Amino acid sequence: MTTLDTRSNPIGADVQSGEPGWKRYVPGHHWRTADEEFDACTLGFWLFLATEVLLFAGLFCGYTIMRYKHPEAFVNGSSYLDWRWGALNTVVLLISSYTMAAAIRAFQLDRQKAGRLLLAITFICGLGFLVIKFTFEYTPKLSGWFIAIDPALHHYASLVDGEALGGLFKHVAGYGGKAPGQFFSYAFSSDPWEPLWWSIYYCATGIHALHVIIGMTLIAWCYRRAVLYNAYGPSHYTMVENTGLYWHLVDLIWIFLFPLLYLIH
Amino acid sequence: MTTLDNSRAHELGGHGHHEGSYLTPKGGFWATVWDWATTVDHKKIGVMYLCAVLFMFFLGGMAALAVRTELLNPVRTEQVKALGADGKELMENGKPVMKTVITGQWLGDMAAWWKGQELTSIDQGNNWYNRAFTLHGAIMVFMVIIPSIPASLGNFFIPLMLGAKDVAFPRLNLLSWYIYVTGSIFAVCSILIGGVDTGWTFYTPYSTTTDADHANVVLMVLGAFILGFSSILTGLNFVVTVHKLRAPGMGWFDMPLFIWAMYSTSIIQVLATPVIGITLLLLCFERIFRIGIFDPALGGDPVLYQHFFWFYSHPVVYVMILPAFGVISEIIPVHSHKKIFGYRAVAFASLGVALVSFLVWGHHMFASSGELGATVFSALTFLVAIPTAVKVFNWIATLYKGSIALTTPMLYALMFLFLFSIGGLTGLPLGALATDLHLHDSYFVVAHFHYVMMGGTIITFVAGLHHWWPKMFGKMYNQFWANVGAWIVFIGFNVTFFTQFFLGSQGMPRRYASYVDEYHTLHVISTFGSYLLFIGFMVHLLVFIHSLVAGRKAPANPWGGLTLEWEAASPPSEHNFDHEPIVTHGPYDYETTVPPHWNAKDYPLPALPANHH
Amino acid sequence: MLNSLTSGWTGTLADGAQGWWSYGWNWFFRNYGANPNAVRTDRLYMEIFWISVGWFVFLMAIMFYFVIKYRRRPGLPAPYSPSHNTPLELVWTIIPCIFLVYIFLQGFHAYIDKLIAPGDSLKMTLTAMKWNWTVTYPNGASSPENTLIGSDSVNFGGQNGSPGSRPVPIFYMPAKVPVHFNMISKDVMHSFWVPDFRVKFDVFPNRYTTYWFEAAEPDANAPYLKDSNGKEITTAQGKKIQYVDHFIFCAEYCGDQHSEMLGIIRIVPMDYYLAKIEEWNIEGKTPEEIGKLVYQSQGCAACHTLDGSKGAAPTWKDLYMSQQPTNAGTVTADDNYIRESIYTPAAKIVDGYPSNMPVFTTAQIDERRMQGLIAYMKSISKYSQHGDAKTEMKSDAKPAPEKK
Ligand code: HEA
Ligand code: HEA
Ligand code: HEC
Ligand code: CUA
Ligand SMILES: [Cu+2]
Repeated sequence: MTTLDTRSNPIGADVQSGEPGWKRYVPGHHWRTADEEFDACTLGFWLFLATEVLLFAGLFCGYTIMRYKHPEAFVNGSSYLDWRWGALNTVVLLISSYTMAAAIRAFQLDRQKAGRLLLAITFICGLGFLVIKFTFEYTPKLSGWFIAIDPALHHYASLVDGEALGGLFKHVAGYGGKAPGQFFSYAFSSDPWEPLWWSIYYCATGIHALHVIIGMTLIAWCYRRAVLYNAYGPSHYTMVENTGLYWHLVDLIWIFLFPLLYLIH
Repeated sequence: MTTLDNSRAHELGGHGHHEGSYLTPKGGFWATVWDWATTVDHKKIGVMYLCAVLFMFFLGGMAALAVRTELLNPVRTEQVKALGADGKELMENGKPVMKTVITGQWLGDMAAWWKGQELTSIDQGNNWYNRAFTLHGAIMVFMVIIPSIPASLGNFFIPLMLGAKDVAFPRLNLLSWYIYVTGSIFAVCSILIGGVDTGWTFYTPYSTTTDADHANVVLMVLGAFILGFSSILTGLNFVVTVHKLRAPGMGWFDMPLFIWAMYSTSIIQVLATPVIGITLLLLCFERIFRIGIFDPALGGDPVLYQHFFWFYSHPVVYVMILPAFGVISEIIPVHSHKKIFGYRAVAFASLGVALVSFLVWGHHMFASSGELGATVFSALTFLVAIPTAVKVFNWIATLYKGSIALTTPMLYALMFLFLFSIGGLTGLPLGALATDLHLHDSYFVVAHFHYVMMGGTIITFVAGLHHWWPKMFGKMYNQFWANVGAWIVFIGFNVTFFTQFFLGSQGMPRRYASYVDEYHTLHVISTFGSYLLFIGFMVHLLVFIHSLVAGRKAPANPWGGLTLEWEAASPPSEHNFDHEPIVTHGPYDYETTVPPHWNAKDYPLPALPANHH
Repeated sequence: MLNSLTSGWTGTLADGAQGWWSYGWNWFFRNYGANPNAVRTDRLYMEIFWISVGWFVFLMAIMFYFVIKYRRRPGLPAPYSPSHNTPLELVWTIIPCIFLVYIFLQGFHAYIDKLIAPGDSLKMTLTAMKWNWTVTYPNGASSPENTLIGSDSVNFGGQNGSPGSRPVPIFYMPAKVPVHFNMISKDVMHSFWVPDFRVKFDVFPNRYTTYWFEAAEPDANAPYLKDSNGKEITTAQGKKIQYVDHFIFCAEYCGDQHSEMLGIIRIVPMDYYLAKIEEWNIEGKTPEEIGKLVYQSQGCAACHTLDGSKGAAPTWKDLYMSQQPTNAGTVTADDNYIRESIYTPAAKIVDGYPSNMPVFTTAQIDERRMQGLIAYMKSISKYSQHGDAKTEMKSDAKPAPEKK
């Protein structure tokens, strides 16, 4: 957390004083001014973002080379992905990026309630992204279990061979098993290298999902501190600012992943 | 004393006005331990890194001695006459009974003795040998040389030299120490449960298939992955520190060259390490899930792994050497009381090396890549030699008309120039395509990288340790014995590794547990050299222990340095300086400035030419 | 040098290759480069060496001179001297550049010659596996000849004939003809290195790489080939055969026996080479002979013994029709089991052995060779007599031919 905020707890001894946390904030002892500290934190955070970009760059590189080697496997594998879910998730993340930016603005203007609300919305969008990812994308592909409202289900109506949770989930025979690497057991793949495609798909989206979770943790942390201490306001908002940067990065990476994975022809 | 305004000069010169030194214990034993374990003071973190790195160096060194001892004799299976319980030859049908023994296998014998069995196949010994050199390489690279100068000396001295109270993110700094320890524990655990036999490069598909049912490789790879984070965080911290925490009056070109070198190093660390991060992660997935990106049997590409690996691991060799360049750029001016020659050239050469280092990784793959790539990488490799050559010239030019004292740090700095030049120059036949196809993966490469890593970085690390030891611990050490140690290390080093150039060009492949007899003599010489090295380092260890226990109290500025750390007390106080220093002279203005804590009488200034500004 | 194998041949530098750079050459290389490209590499190496020595001595001399001349004298300050000098700094940046450009270009030219094989070369396949090499000659034969590097001064893994020592294959190659290998690995990466040719190149699984060389003729002092009784071998015309040996090393780390993964390239006159590969051709041989050839040439000998001793793999002595305890229960080692053990070794693993037998494909061991192997195993098994009756034949497998 240290790059985000040099102090974990700005309340100090005078919790009871009634002053909001952001007014009581004092920079670390080795900084001359709070501004310098803020600049340093932002610079540090941008560097950190650069490392994240490079991390994903490695992944994209692997993707490119594997796609070049096995184009059929990629086209074929990608055809199992429903672009509508991908697009929905893109929209969810774009909205959350907007609310995140708005939250920062709100804290800068000392509109605490709006700020908290916007943080909460951002968090919920993140959650929504993960829910969509896991229930509509990962689960059917791995296990063949579809949630009943999934529009894709009508393609496979004739193959449904089981139900669970009172009909909420339906099982489609032979659909599952599109797992990475050695766990791949889908019987109808038409290209020998399809496991590789699924490996890349799960690595890329999985590592991205991990980043979504980290981002959500940061947002929750900001929210908690905003509620407990009024920690952010016009003169001190380092952590929300940096959390926002992180969240935009998560969004940006998804915007690259979406066409690369879903829109292959 | 021009750095300080006069009102403060006497305060620093006198005693009793300081806060306590950072080493002063805080209460009882456990309170002190707790204080160190939770400290955010860059100096304490630097010292903790120093201890951890030296411990790891010791471990890695022991593995190296195991490697060398095994190579003392090539493996043979021989028929010998079997002896009965009474010690007499066993006979059958009038002929002596023969039995097969495996000789020349020190590690195998050790393992067999440990298990109480006889050695039955040469595989066992080879297996141990492979584990030993992997352990040695991985420890030395990931746990010793990468954190060595940056994390220990860098942590301690960057804020001091900048005139700052701490690094930009002190708690992050502590975190990166704990990450380092965690990563090292992973690696050590992997060794304890059986070790890894992949080589430090973890080339696929070998690394993804060996010991298929064990977790050792995954643990070791995760260890390296975790250590990467520690390295990233340290680098990030330093970049921000240099940008934001320079003392008032210190512009970019007033920074000591050590800072320039550390700055360049940190940039490489931040930009290259994430790539090895994702690579090692994919390698773990490859082992656990068999995802196939690097395994040709599953449609992947092992050369892709090599590209990824060297995209990090080549820049990282400059992470190893640039800090060493920085230390040398400090030691030479200080111990010859001479302004560094070509300050800007040296500073820009650091940045230049850092930039070009990202473009040459393919020179590790001449024997596996296509002609076009190889040619481009070869050309770029030579490009990177130029800024390095410039630095060497500048250092030597700095000596010109100096006042050179052969203190231990200076002695080591000169040894560095000697050894690193050999190491760097032997990079040239490796960078040239035709010769590399012969020398690749031979002992020539082993000799090359020991000359640059050991003769370059480790030697300089020890030099820097001697240079700053009085500042760090407030104690002087016995220079005579330290010099004796230095000479033993120097001789031992050359005996160990110069022989290996000949081994390599004559055809001895690296990572060989055994060899044909032709190479025996040179291997024996090399092994004895390594024992000498051990003795040399033990001398240093004793000198340091003696200094801590019974050393004379160190003055604040024993060598007469001009950079800001010499203005602080020895050892520095908790907050480094009593007052924020204000920079009024350059870091190397020996011709115009009396060093802090020195008397103008002991430091006569030269007559300046009339046109000097 | 391989004089322990070939006693006394040193070769000569190609005409006109001597020069200032060749001083000290014999410190670095034991054997004269075995062909013009190798000589060229040596030349570049020595040039770089002497350039480096020049720079190194020059710089160190200056350094020592300064250290002595300008050593510290109490009370005397270091005199003033300028701290930069742009022309000087430009000069010492540009001069190394010139050297570096020269080295790069030389390295590049020699490299291209080393990599690009002439069109009219002899094409062969080289297969690498843990931990052995096989060469498949143009006529489909492979070399069954092995040697134990256990003679007096070369000793590798064993004295001559001692159990447990590692035989390394000998590949006969003609002199003065470009030979071109298509290289492939069965398992992990290996690297094919013949130090005397000054070239190595990596061998990958699932992908071909190439290697070529043209070896110089054995010179007048080269030794004569002898058979196992020490008698000199002669050709049909009664000519004695001079030869020269070159070591093959595996130069990419590949596991436990990486350091035992050796081989020998034996350069012989073209006609003898042709006679040799004809001798190993399986055409016109009995199944047992074919089986024995396969045993020796496909690397089975690296792990399986014939004398009943326990090697890295089960011995073949008395294997055929014996009862083998495996992880899939006890099985009878009949034709089908042997066949399966070779094409899909992982199917049943014999107790007490690792699962590291390489997979062989029908391209390497075709039906004839498979039949040969089975016949050969049968010929060295005491169970073969009463085994025949019980053998169940798969429809596609022909019955194993009777022993003659
Ligand atoms: C500290 C680490 C370090 C440093 C600084 C260097 C520096 C250099 N290295 Fe080295 N290298 C390694 C660590 C390092 N290396 C390691 C660890 C490996 C092996 C990894 C493995 O496989 O396990 C390796 C392997 C390696 C290879 C691959 C070999 C192979 O496997 O086939 C090559 C090939 O180009 C190479 C080249 C160079 C060059 C050209 C330099 C240049 O930067 C050197 C520049 C310096 C000088 C040139 C000398 C000083 C200058 C003068 C004295 C002035 C006069 C100079 C001239 C006229 C040119 N190195
Ligand atoms: C920093 C890097 C570093 C350092 C310092 C060393 C140091 C040494 N190395 Fe190593 N080495 C590598 C990095 C390094 N090595 C790498 C990366 C490889 C490749 C691995 C691979 O192929 O995967 C390698 C491989 C390698 C090989 C080749 C193995 C093979 O290919 O088969 C050999 C063989 O001789 C060897 C020997 C040695 C020796 C004798 C030392 C000696 O210099 C060691 C001397 C040190 C000691 C004996 C310890 C003494 C310490 C103390 C007493 C503690 C106190 C110290 C102080 C107070 C200062 N090393
Ligand atoms: C790297 C070592 C290695 C090589 C080379 C090798 N094998 Fe094996 N082989 C083994 C091992 C280990 C086993 C036992 C484990 C198993 O059953 O797979 C084995 C088992 C066998 C068996 C079954 C033996 C039994 O006792 O049931 C046969 C038959 C066999 N190999 C044939 C061959 C042939 C034919 C070749 C060469 C063309 C060959 N092997 C090359 C290692 C090797
Ligand atoms: Cu094969 Cu090393
Ligand atoms: Cu490199």
